[in-house]
Amino acid sequence: MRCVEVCACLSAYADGELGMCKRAKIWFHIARCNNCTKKLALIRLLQLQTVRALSEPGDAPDLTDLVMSRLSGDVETSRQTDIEAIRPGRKWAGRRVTAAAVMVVLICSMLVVSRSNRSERSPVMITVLPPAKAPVTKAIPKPPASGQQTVAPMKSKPVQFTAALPKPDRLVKRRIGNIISKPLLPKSAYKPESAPPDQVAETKAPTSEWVVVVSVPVKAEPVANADTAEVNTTGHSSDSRKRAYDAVFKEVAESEPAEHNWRIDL
Amino acid sequence: MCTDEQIIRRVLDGCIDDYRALMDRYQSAVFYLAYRILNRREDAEDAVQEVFIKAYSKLADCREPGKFWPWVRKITVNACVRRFSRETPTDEIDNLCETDWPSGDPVQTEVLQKVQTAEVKKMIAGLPEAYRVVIVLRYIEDLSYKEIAGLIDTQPHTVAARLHRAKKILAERLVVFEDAVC
Repeated sequence: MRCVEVCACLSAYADGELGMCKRAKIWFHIARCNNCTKKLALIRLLQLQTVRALSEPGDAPDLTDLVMSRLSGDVETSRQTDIEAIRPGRKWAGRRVTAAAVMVVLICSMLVVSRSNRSERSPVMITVLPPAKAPVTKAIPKPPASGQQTVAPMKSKPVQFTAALPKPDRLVKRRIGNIISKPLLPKSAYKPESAPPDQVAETKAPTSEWVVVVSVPVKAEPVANADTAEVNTTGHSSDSRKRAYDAVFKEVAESEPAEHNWRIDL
Repeated sequence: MCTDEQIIRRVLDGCIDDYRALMDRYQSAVFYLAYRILNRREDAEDAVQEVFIKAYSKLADCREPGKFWPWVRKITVNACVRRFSRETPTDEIDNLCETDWPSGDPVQTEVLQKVQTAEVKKMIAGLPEAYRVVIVLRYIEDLSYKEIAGLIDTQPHTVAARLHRAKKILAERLVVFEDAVC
């Protein structure tokens, strides 16, 4: 080691704060270098004198009464509030309780919001209408076999059922016709040919198309602006949800105002 | 004789007067530490009051009541550092230029041996406060670099550098003193 490097570490060496390896290197250097040995002696003497000088600070004053009077003596004075404020544990105890209460309220509100969001997935009412000229069945239907669907689309009155509304983003990505054309019912339910022969004994296979009516219940009021025909979706926080409902309502507005029919090929 | 832990538990239970026992036990140590760092008696007395009032208000936060003195010592050092850091930012002190050590001639050593304690005291009092803190904590409180670093919230190598520079400044002042004497 060079003298410059040793000098940089002499203070820590004198304090015994160096590692074994570095300490040994410096020790070997000092054993050979007279200059560094003198410097080390000077540092040690300085340390000794420093300890001596700092060891005589004089008598310590007795401040116990003063501090105790500040802590508890002047209870009846206006300092009472200060004393209460600095009592151990009191200051933070109230804040901790408040923070815990705030956290509980936050967690509860988050749970409520998440549940309400889940319930906002409004069901879609789907009505399957038979062809307009389809005759009314007169046959007495047999009790359905086990596992067979009980819905009877062959009857003249419309069949209604509900389905959960897909998530709005899915709704945006996929066309609504695709969603409706999903096999919500067994395919045989739509096809009059596949119905039991005793139920369709006096019926002819309809030639016209079947109609599926989809009604989407939305807690919203249509905006009065007829130009845009958009829907004010109050109560829905997400923009994507708003866009989804807007898309639905736009299609509704462009079709018939009262009833919305999508024709599907079966 | 009650231990610190027992006294602290009683104080936390509402016996404020028991805090007097803790003060009697440690106020001298707190005063000496503050006086050595701040170098002014009035400031040290103010620091003692501040430290014990703060310790009382934070007593519930003392994680190890059995180690009350290290906890109070940290409060004391922080109180002292806060007092002088308003005047001298420690960054400026750490960025001081390095100078070479005095030669360490035998003359210097002899002079230093003859130097009165009062003179050394003056030299130490003339040091920047950040240096005085590490000197007091190292040579009076006998703490390691790591412990000092934990107390003043810095790194051990910063402590080593400050001690190194403090000693260098003292050695340079000694040279000036030697010139004046000889």
